[in-house]
Amino acid sequence: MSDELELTALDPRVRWLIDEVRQPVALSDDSKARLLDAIRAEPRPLREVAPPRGWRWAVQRRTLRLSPLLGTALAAGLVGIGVLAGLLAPSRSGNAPAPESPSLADATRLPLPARTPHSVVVEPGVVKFVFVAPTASRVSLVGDFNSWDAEATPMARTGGTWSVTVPLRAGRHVYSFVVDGTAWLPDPSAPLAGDDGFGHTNSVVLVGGSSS
Amino acid sequence: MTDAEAVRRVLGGEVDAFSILVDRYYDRCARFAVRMLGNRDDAEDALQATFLRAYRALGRYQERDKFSAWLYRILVNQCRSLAARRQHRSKVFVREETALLNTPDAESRWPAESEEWVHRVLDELDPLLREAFLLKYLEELSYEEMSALTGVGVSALKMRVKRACDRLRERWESIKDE
Repeated sequence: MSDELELTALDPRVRWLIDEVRQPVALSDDSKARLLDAIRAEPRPLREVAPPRGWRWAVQRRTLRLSPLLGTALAAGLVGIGVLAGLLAPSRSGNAPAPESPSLADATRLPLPARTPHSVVVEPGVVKFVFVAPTASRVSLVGDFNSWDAEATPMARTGGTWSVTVPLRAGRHVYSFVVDGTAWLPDPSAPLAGDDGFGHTNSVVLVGGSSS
Repeated sequence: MTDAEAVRRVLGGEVDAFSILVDRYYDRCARFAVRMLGNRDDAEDALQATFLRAYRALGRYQERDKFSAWLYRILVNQCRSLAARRQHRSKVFVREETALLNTPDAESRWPAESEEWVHRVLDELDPLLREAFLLKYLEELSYEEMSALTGVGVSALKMRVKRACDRLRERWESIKDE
């Protein structure tokens, strides 16, 4: 096994250190008891409920509006989130490349640099998420809109880029990408939502509620 | 009882079933946290925060993922946060002078009471190198597993592990000359 070969090839002093590091460690006698007491004082955790089947809002026509704050952040280097409308069907197929679309400046009506990396379209209620992961074997989208179910919204690969287009209700949505089923990564090009309560940072997308 | 069964029991109302998971993973997590943070007080804080966060977020755990990997991701993040918050605080290594006096030469073992010495040498590593080194050689994860856990690419992790080993060897050499 290659890892074993790596270990034996190490400097003997480093190997000795590894042996020492692997020795068991004992914390104070009551540390585990205190932890269990703290856990018993917590409210009982509840399984998150899956959303209603069918995403009834999928058929509703909504307009996406990006806030000035988000637009500014995008202008500073967003590359991940696009907004596409009327493209839901071909994008879901996973085979059709994203067509040319109006610029982000058009979408947000903000003065943005000419070199905006990804373009977006304002059309009702559909968001296209894009994530670059050339070495991944599978990527999915998780968020508050799919109960953080890593199987619910798989993304389609086009070269090294993964994308999926989903209908979203108006408002603020928190999301992440799941790479190869285990690694939860925020969108590098989107604003962050901060720690989600268990050491993970998610991204935020804002969806407008009505046509402007 | 499998991890997934224990999780189902907790979510079903048998909250004491979480102690099964604590018993199963506490020592292993403690070892990583102590090696990563360099002292038991910080490690205990990291463990408390890790298991509490895991408990609170248990409803979001997906059974198809390994519970241990999910828990470890929380632990690694907790250790990172704790290390960053306490970076300014100087570590106190008991019997440091004794450890130095007892530093062995290259042909012999290090002293039997070597824990402080091990912590000191690890503490001198950049935290990212230390984390990669410990995930590789303490937890014996594959680079793919490490990548999934840390979000760092495999090639970058290999480089970190190699640099960590190089630094440890260099440190040994420098001590010999002291």
